Amino acid sequence: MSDVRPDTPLRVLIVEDEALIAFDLEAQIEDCGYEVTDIAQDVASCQAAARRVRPDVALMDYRLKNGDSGRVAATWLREELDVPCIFLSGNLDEATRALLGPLHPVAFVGKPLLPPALRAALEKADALRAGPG
Amino acid sequence: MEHSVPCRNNSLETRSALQEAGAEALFDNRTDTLRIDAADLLSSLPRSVAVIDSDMVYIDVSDAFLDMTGRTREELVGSPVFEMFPPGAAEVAPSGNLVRDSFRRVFETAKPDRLDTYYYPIAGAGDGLLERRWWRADNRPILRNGRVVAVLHDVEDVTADVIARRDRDIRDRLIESLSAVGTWEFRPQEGSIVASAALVEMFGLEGQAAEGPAEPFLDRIHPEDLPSVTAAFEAKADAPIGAPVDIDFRVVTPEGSERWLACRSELVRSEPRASVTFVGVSLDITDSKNREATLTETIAERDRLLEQKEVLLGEVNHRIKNSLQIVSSILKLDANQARDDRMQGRLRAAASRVQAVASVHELIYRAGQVDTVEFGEYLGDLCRAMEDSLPLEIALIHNSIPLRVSTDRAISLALLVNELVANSVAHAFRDKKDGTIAVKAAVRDERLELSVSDDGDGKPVTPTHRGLGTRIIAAMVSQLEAELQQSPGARGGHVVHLSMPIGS
Repeated sequence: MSDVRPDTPLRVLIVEDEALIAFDLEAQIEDCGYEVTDIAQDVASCQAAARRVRPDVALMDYRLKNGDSGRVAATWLREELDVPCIFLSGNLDEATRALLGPLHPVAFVGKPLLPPALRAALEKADALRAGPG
Repeated sequence: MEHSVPCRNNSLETRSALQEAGAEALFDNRTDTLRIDAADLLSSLPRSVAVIDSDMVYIDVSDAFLDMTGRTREELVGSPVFEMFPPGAAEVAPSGNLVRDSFRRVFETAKPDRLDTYYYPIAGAGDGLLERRWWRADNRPILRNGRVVAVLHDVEDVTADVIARRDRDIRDRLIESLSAVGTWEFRPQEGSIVASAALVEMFGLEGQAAEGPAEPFLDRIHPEDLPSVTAAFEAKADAPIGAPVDIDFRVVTPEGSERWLACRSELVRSEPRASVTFVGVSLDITDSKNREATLTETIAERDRLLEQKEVLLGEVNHRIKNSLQIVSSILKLDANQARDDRMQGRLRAAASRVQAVASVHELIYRAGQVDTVEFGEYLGDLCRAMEDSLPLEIALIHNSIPLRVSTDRAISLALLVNELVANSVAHAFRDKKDGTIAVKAAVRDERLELSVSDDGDGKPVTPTHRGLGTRIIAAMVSQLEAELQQSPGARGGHVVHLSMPIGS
């Protein structure tokens, strides 16, 4: 599987309104050898950042700045750019997960973030990059 | 003259005698009283009266009778009654013509015969169209020598009453059906009641007589409410007509269920000294009473839950603060164990950052408010906590302003101030060992102006520096939508100035 994977490192867009948590994520992603394209706080900045550099995957918080919803940002990413998401969520209920199903998220990673869980999710995204479906 | 039949075409003896005397009205010589002609008397009677003979022919009528029927005396006198006013097929009683029957009974029995409200349409005087009319009649015998010679037909047009009563009955029935209103007349002194079907049902007395003793109704009133009900009516026993008795009480049904009735009534009295009657209506308000009770309970429960929520939130913040304090302490312990200075500095900085966040939770717990915190108070707390970890020679001073900020912004501000103070310590006092760091806050043009200044001799933080502290400052400045400016201080040190919206 790693044979068909592109040579460039996985590009990750972080969509997280808590700046320090975003920094932490950035450090962990870079530790894994991947690249962070940008850090966005809400739907508008997510759209702007993704247009500038199309990421391979977005690390998406469910509750964003100014009451924005991560679902709106994730839907836009999937529909406009076919970018999948890893959802960062400590406590998403079943109904919300079902609602996100059609977006085919790569993974749900709980908060607080544990490096092994994030690493596993990113590796899965990297593998999917070879050819989804 | 007494017992004489007043008559116009069949002159009577008395009348003839009077006419012969050439007088319409004379003084009786023997008694000195005015003597009145019977025909004239009949004519001016205020009631509508007709004299009818055994052939059912009008002998004479009063003017009022003419007014009422819209006929002339010439038309009526000498005409058969039931040719002038023929009974229609639909208008007569099933047994026949009830008016004719009544006249016949009077002729046969020589006794008065009453006709209660009956329907008998008559043709209008002008257009001849049948008019719907209701009547009440009192038919009395006119006797001569013990024999009935004519009937005095005293008739009253009660059409307006009947229509009014019918309309009122319809209204009452509709009101009862619409809102379960029971109507009643209660005579407390006689202990009797007249109740509508709806009231009987409200008291759970189905099958009982709607008119009779009030006792069965009073027995159903809740024992706790009965004294006040009885007292309410007794209090108004001597009150003037129209005095209201308004009272709500419970009725206990045989099954044991309770029902709330709201009763509104007014006192009526036919004569000044007569016993009183209360005419009233009752409305079943059980549902609204129950809703009221449920609502009261719900509100009490809500208040209890809100109180509980406050306590729990306070508890949660207390625990968060404690946990953060523990984390901060672990980091400090770690710092003390660290062998090299760099590691010790890093761990102390981390402990200080955690402590800055903890101080906000401490304040939330103390103030009992979760959404916002008092900024001035919290800045004091923060500075005192930071001063404890500063070298003794460096003083940390601050001012206090009254301003509330949201908890989220307070945490960001706490981290920001912590980093700026730490920066001053690290850079300004690298060589100089003593001095003062001042944290000043002010509100200008709806913006929070915050400055951290020192009188040290260090260099300002360069923007290219990628230390964690610098990154935290950048992150917090962006999160708070603040503008950061650095300049040399007046006392030779360095000033960092922040301007930001107060936020919600």
